[in-house]
Amino acid sequence: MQIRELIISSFRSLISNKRRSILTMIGIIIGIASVITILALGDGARLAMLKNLQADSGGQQSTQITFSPNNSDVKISGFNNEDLARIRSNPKVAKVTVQSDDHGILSSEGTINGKSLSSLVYLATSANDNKILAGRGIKDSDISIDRPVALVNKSIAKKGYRTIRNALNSGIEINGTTYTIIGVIDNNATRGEFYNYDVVVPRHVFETSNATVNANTLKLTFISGTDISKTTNDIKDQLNQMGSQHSSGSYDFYDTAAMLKGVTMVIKGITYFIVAVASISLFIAGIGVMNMMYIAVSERTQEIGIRMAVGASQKQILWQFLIEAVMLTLSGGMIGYLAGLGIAMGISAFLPFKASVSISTFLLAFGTSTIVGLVFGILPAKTASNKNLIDILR
Amino acid sequence: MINLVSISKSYRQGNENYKALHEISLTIQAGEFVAIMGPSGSGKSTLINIIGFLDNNFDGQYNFNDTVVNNLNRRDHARLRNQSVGFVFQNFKLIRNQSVGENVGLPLLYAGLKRRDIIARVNDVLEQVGLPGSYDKLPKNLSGGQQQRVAIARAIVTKPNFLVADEPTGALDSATSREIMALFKELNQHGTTVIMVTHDENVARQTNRLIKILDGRLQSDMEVEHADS
Repeated sequence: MQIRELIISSFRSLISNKRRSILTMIGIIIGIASVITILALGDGARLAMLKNLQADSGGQQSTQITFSPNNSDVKISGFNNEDLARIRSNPKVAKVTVQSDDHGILSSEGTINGKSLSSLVYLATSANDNKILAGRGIKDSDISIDRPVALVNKSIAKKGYRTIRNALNSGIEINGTTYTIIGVIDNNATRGEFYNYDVVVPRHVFETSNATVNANTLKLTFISGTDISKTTNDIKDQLNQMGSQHSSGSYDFYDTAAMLKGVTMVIKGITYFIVAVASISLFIAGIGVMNMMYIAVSERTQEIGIRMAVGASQKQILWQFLIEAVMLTLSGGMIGYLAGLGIAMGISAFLPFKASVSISTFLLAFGTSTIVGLVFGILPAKTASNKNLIDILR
Repeated sequence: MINLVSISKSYRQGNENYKALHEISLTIQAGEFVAIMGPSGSGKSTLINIIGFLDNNFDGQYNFNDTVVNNLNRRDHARLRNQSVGFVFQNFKLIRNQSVGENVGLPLLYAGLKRRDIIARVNDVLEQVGLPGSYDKLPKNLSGGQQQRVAIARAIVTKPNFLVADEPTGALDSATSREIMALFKELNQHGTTVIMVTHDENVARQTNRLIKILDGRLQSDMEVEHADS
């Protein structure tokens, strides 16, 4: 008999017992749906975290090395051009930017229109209208009378006020001081060769409200596929040995990737634990399938006898009942998969990350339900195929 | 065609062995129309189950054409059952939730034929047994006689070497019995070997050879004298 015929005949006998088939399927549906929900949400959480902590919007991964001088009262720039050139020659490094007090650039926390931001601030001591896109630059008069004005780059302007025009003459708060945005500059404004900056403010205004600011940070961006913690560590060790200021301070690297790995492990662990709990439900559902198949076999003893009498081999009878069990669990599995995705999507609407849909979860649902069908269907099917023809027909 | 050499069969009943058949030897040629008669418990059903390849658990030797049946494994035995014999049961034994056509086509399905060929063949056979156009009916909507015709159609659908019928008229009234017997006779006249078990003298008298069996032993084996011949 052809497989197609076996499938058709199995499908029909499932249909002829609709209510029983559906009740048996519910167990599988619940089991698969809960596994898929958990996996989709767990995966989504992991991916969201990876994205937030490690890579920028382009998918590139970056790390930071900071220099702390031994004597904290002295202001030293930890990175000179020679250091930067050496780091830049590393083939795995895509971009090097430095934030150094010595060049009047440092990173600061701030808010714009209620949104927090971390930006590189260029402290201007003279008039500045470099790479200006809209508005006006900082004038000497602004600096001499300590007017709290700022130039911000396009992406910060858009982040705060959506359009450049809205941003002009609005406020931005940096390290506790509020500035009026008078101009918008290009995103890739740089000073010298390496020193990117996002915001320009008059130095004197900034310093009157900020006695101490952190400086001397090196931001490294890597080409994708790099083991970033190892490479960054290598660069850090190199700096500690031969960096321009290795004798007057230390270079440090806070490994966010390692922390990330830890968090990822925890999420994975929780996911697997819940999946293990959910698979208990699958096990119970499997026993339900087995029970139903045993009932079906004993109910249809006559049919088995007739099929054998017209020439069905034991193998064909075995396959008929096995395929019936697999079809039952597989359709339950597919319904459960869709239900699980639906639930995960529904839940993630209230969460800060999206549920992730991957082919592997589909294969998991497909495989698991098939295996449940095979494992729990084989014994009833064996019972059916081992029945003695003479005993049945008597 | 069929050659039984000292066939014995015993059942276990509790601790005792109950011997249903005692060294039966029998030869049936192609084209014969044979009735096996005997009171209940005489072993006639046991014998016909062995002849019809339903039971392969016996002592002695069964030669079917060139095949030694008692040496076959379960798979080959099933194939022989599928292709060489058609079995007609007393209580029809149709699958209730399948249509008439599907019941008749079942042996062809197990023989591995394609669905399209099966449907064509089934319709031919249904016409042959006097039930044209009933492919899609359900067995429960048919009368007993019609159901037995469906069962006969199922038995002859694979064009087997011989038909085995176990009390084919046992569940039918006398008028219907006559119709069914007429059908068997017609099949036999077209060359099909028919072996049937009955305890009805009237039915047995319409065959060509009558074998009587008692307590598992052959009692008599004779030609049937027909009044009209």
